[in-house]
Amino acid sequence: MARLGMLIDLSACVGCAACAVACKMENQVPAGASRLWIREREVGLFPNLAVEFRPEQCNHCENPPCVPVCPTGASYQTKDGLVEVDVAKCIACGACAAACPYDARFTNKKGGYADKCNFCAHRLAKDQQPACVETCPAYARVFGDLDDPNSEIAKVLKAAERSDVLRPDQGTRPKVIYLNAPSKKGLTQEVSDS
Amino acid sequence: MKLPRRNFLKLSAAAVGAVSVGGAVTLTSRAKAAPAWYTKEVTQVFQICENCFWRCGIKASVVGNRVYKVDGYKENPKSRGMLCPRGQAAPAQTYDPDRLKKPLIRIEGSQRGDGRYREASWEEALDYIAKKMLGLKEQYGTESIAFFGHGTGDGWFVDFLPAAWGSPNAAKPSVSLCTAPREVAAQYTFGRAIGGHEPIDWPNTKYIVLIGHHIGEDTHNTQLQEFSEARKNGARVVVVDPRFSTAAAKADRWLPIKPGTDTALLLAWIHVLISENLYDQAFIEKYTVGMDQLVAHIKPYTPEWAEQQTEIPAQVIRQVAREMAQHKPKAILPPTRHTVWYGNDTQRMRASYILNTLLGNYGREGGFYIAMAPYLEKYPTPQLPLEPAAGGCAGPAAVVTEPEGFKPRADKGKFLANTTAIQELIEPMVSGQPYPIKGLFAYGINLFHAIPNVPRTKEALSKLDLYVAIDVLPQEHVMWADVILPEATYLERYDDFVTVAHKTPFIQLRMPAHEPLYDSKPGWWIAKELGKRIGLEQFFPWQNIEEYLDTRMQSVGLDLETMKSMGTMVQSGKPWLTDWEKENSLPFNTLSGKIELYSEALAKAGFDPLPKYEAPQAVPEGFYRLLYGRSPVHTFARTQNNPVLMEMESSNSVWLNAEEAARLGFKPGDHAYLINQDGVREGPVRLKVTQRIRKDAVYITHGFGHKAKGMALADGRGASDSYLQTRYTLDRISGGAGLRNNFVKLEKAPAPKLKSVTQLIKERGA
Amino acid sequence: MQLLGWVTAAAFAPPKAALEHDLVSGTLQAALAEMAKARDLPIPDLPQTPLNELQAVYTSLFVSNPAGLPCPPYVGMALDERLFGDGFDRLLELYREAGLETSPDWRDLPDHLAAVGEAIALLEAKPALARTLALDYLYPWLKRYTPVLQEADSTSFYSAIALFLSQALEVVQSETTAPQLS
Repeated sequence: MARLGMLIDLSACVGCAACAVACKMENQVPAGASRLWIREREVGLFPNLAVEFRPEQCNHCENPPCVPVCPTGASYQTKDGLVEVDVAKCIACGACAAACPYDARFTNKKGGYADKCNFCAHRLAKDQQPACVETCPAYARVFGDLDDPNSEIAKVLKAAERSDVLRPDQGTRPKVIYLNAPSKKGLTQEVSDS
Repeated sequence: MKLPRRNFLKLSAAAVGAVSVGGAVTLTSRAKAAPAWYTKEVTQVFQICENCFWRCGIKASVVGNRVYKVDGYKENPKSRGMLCPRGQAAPAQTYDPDRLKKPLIRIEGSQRGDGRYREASWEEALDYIAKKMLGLKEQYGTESIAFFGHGTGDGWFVDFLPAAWGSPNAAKPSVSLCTAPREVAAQYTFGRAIGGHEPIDWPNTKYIVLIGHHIGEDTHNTQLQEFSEARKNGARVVVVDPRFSTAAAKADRWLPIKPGTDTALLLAWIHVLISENLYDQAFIEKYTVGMDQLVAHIKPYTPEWAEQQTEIPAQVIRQVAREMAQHKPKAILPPTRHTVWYGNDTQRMRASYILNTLLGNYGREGGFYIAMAPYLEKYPTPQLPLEPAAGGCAGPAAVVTEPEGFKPRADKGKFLANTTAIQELIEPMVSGQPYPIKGLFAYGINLFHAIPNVPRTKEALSKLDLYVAIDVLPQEHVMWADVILPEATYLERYDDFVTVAHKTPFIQLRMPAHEPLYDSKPGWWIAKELGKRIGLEQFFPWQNIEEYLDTRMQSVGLDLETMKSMGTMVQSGKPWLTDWEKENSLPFNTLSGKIELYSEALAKAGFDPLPKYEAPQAVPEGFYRLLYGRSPVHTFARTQNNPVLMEMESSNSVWLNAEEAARLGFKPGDHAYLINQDGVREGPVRLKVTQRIRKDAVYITHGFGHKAKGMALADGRGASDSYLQTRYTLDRISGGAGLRNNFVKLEKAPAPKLKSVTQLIKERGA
Repeated sequence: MQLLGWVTAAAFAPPKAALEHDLVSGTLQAALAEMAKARDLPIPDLPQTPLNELQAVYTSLFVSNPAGLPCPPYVGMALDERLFGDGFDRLLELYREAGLETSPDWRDLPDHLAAVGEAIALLEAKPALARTLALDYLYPWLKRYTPVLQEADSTSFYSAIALFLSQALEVVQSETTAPQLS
């Protein structure tokens, strides 16, 4: 049994969107929709500035609000801690998307189901890394089993000076964890969006 | 009533094709949501990315006539298993409905720029070109046809073909519109090129000073990886830039320098290293000439003097110089690629190299490694009448004079170096001086988005007797050509090997993932077929590209089939000075055989043998200096019709300092026109009101502002820096066109009425 | 149906000597007349357009146009609103089923109007497949792009043929569906 999660080192990320494009190509995500996207925010006043480049995607929460609201059981958690959608059961009612505090889900109109990042489960099944991790040219992403003390992800997390998750107030316990936020105040908030 | 049959289709006995069967994935619950292509029978072929000129080795995942995904591979020293966004999205170009599909001939009697064409067969199109070429040769000589190009296939059209044909007028924008100053300065200082793959030992360096270097926005894959590696290994980073760039956001220190004063800063740093005796004395004694002259020359350039020029406090200048010295020789100022800034750029780059040399970092770990080209023989052909000399990122092999019977290149005499200056080859098309250029091939280069002074380029095109464009998209300048030849996209063709000078020199293979779609053809085929028609058949002795590649590969003891299973062949190099000293040699191909701090060669040619400071042209009242750079998801003006990349970034925006915006009454999200000093207007373009730029400059990313309705996604979005660059300042040493002496003012503009990219993608299909 | 296929192939292939021959000899006009008579439709009147002008207009409508290509001649564009979509894949499957493959000389996509037209013609022995091709693949394109052609085709040659073909297929459609309705 694993607890699969992802680290994103914000001190390394340059916001180039290689991850977002790799995701789009790998998963044939339809035009206008995203499973993964980048936020860019500047903090401070000239010349004392910081810029946060922050990729966002499904957080594969340990306490996912999208799962209990699903009327058909299509949204579920795997034993490895992935939040998944069984597309055969999904009726695209939109309840999960409404419940997600991260806006991580969209309705795949052609397929008629709720769609989102699934950590490239099809690649994991072949012992490959998720497409976003594999391609990242800034070495900003680490994927693996948070529960395995010998895994790279566990070691990097342990060594990190600072880690944050999005919207900790929601009690969702995200497994996409951000390291080394450039602002001393931690992750930037929606309100300061420019 | 019977109509004759057309024979587009045939009835075949083999009615059953290769029907896909579930691939290798076992359908566990995890794989249920696998994307459809992934579950089919996927084959992988070795390819080279063409979405920028870094040219990473990639593997293309192919199902039938479609590539769904490309990835890097670990054995390739460019990609090392990773890819940037542009590389990831590149396959979308092959399936772009706006692609050029058939050879086209401009309707007789129509004007260039009217865009009236008729479809033609390849035979007809090539015969048409050949007839015109032979006519021009007869009337004006072979030099009357110029060959411009950019891209992996440019070897066929800008190196091989003009050399075989006998025209010295062959040029690539990657020289005088990009790297010329840094390459020429490197030749004068080190006697070596920097080269297309910058030889920086990033992982081992401890102190990095980037001047106008846009790592992170310029997503050259390996560089991005190694920059990250350097930082993870504890390197400190200083960024000198009028703008808080992505690199600045990753830096330990940002120096918001006054634009155009970089040489003053460099000279002051040299001053501190020398006056405080912080330089690497052993290295200087052993490997350089001209230290005495430098010591005398540098005296007046104090940090206090530099503060007046650069607006960087003298104290900070001193401190950074001392920090560099503390980390030497593992401290480096990596040369950026685009160095055509203000017209005196070779001297700025000389100052940077002198400073690097004082840090003792050349040929040493954590500094510059010494790049070697891989060994690979040419395909044997009869000797070409001319030496290919268009160059590339690393500048050309120097051709001092043309052989007897051939006129010198038309830009000779305008500048010192033997590099080609593409912008100086436009003038002879207009003026006929020093002799007329009446024909032009444009391969992959965007004439209107690469070469400054667009009105002059348009005038030149209107005066030509023959203008041929070879491209994959109906770019604006393409639709002016007399003959348009649709090239197969990178995924559909072989090209010549890409050889990379590197720490570990290597050779990479591009092979087609599937047959070319439509009536497009690979560049090698076009060049050979044209060669046959213009009396150059003897120079194209190969049967086909496979035989050509196989023959070349034999020279390194391999064959094409083996290479197809490897993708990349890596050789060993001699990256460090110690490797050379073991063989009792040094790598410096200068007159003195050493690193030349003082350049006797420049002195003899009448130029400053040591760099001096020249103040930049002042910004006119009411204007801002126009700075430009790169978007991480776009390459020049080549990718703005790619649906995936356009979804990531559909337009540029103009960066304006927040206080200036308030003064002018602009709010975030407002739109503006940019109007340059000559009254040229671009936009409307969205405003980015930001703290991240000085008050005396504005900034846009290059490549937007297309005026090509045939490119549905690209057309009419954002502003073009190239159109605003009606002026340039010629660097009299390198031939580079300094582009940062253009100025703009901002006027309020309405938001453009454009459909969203998503809507366009859905409407037109992509 | 076979004649309809040949007319489609003849009219929408790149205009060359073969088309000029069909026009000068009156073959194409006669074919249209025969089709019109069989379906009780008015005979379209083809304009007398010189070949070089047809070539220019064909290029600007179907091949390349600096002002934007008005009518991409691929049935997939009407089926999927994109190239290489599901409809394109279904068409290839249908070709395979019918034992058809594109000839190496055909340097365009297999869902080009001219290729689909020829496929319809070649499937004389398999009328059900020919009908499917005509109604489910060719007709959607004609329905979507005939109005565009009526705007953009300065010669009226292509718009007249497209309009006539769609009318003819509407008759076929009504013949097919009528018995089921009654």
